[in-house]
Amino acid sequence: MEEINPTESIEKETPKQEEDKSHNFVIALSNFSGPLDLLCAMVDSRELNALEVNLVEVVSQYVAFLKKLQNVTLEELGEFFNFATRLILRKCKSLNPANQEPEPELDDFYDEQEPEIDIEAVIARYKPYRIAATWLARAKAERENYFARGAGEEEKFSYDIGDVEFLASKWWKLLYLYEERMRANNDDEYFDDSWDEIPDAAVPDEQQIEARMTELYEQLTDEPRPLIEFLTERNHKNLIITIMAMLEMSRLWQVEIIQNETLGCVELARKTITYEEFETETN
Amino acid sequence: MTELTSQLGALLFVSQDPVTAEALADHLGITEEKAKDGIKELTEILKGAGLTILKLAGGYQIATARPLRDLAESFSPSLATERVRLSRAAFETLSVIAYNQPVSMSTIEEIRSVRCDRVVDTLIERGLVERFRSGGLGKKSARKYKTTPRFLEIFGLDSIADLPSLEELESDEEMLKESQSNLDELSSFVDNEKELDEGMSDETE
Repeated sequence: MEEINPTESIEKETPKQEEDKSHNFVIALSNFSGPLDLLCAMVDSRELNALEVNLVEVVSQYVAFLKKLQNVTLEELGEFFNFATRLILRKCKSLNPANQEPEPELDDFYDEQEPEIDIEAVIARYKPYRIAATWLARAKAERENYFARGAGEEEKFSYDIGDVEFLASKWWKLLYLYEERMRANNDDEYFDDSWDEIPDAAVPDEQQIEARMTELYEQLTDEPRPLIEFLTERNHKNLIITIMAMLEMSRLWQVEIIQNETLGCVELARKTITYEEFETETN
Repeated sequence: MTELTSQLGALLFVSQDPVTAEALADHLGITEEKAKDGIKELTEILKGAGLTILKLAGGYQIATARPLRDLAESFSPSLATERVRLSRAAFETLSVIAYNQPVSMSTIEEIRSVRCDRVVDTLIERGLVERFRSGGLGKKSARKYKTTPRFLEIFGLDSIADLPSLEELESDEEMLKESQSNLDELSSFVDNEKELDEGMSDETE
C-alpha cells in the first residue's frame, strides 16, 4: 500500500514581496496568523535578535496589514496592542536596566494585569509550531493528490451529539430562516414574542448553560427522575438551556438520559460509574 | 488475482472510510496477517488500474493513483471543491493541538499569543478537532482538545506517531526556510478566518 510522503516538494511561485525603501526592510504581503507570526517573519528576514527589532515598525506595519483586511474587529486590534504593549515594556526595561525604579506597590487592579513578556522565550516556544504548520500544509497538499470515494450527500452532515454549540448554531439559523419566512407571509400568529428573551447570538450563552449544568448536577440522584421535574420554569428559554446542559453532561459522562419507550417519558439519573470504569467493563 | 484479493478489493471499494485490517479479517474470517498480505498483493494489482491503496488513520482506503490527479480532477471538478480549506491560523492551531493533545484552550492561546476559540470552533466544525472527554464540569478555559480520525485522513497520516518531532522539524533547513516564506501559494490556505466563515455560511444556507 502507499504511504503518503509529505516531504515531496511542492512547486510554488516566489512569494510576492514589497520593499520598504525608507527602512531598507523587506516584508512579505501575506496573511499572518497573529502578532507572533509577523514578529517571527520580521526577525527571520532581518536576521536580528528579537530585542533589536524596531517595535515602531512592528506596530505600524501590523496596523497597515490590519487596515488592508478592512473588517478588523476591536478584539483583533486589542489582542495585538496588548501584546505590543507588553513587548514595548520589556524592551524599555532591557534598554535601561540600571535606571529601573523599584516596582511600586500594586493594588488588586494591577495584580490582574498580565506579566511582561519574555519575548525570546515566547518566540522560542511558538516557532516549532509555525514550522509544524508548514509541514501540515505540505502533508495536506500531498494527500490531495489522491482521491478516494467520498460520503454520499445525505451522509455528509454528521454531528457529534457532544458538539452542542455547533448544533445550537444550526438550530438558530433554522429558526431565523423560519421567522423570516413567517414575517414575509405576515403570519404574526406564529411569531412568538417570548423568543425575545433567548440570547440572539448564533449560540446560547455558554455561561447560562454551565450554570444550568451546575444546578442539574446538584439536583440529580442515582434514582431516575422525570425530566419534567427539572423544568421548574415553564418557558422556552429554560427548556432549550436545560436540554443543552443535559446533552453536555451526557457527553461528560455525568448524567444518564433514559427513555424506555418511543415518545415515552424522559428520565434523568446521575451516572454511577466513571467513563474509565465503563470502558474497562466493555473491553 | 486470488479470491482473497478480490474479496478485499470489493470490501475496500464499498467503504467510504479507511478500514482496519482487523475489521477486514473479522469479516472474512481470516487472520489479520493474512489480510495485510492480501492488501499488499492487491496494491500491486491495482497499480495497473490507475488506483492505489492508502494507509490512513489506522486503516486502508482505495484511492486514485497520484499521477492521475489532474485527470481525475478535470473529469470531476467537484473533487476540488470538496477539499477542506484552512487558514494559516488554523494550521498553526492544529499543530499545537496535534503535538500536545489533549491540550487546553489556555495552553493553545499561550503558545500562539492570540485568542483561539474562534479558530478552534472552526476546526471542530470541520471535524478535525474534538473536545476531549474528561470528568468534572469542564469550564471552557479548562476544556481540552484533541485531533480526530478525520484529521489523520485529511493529512494523510496513519497515526499521530507519523508526525515528525518538533526537534526534527526545527533542524530541517528546508522546512525552516519554507516556514519563513509566504505560504499563500500552498493551495490549502484561505486568506483568513473570515473568508472561511463566509464560505461556510454559503455552504449551509
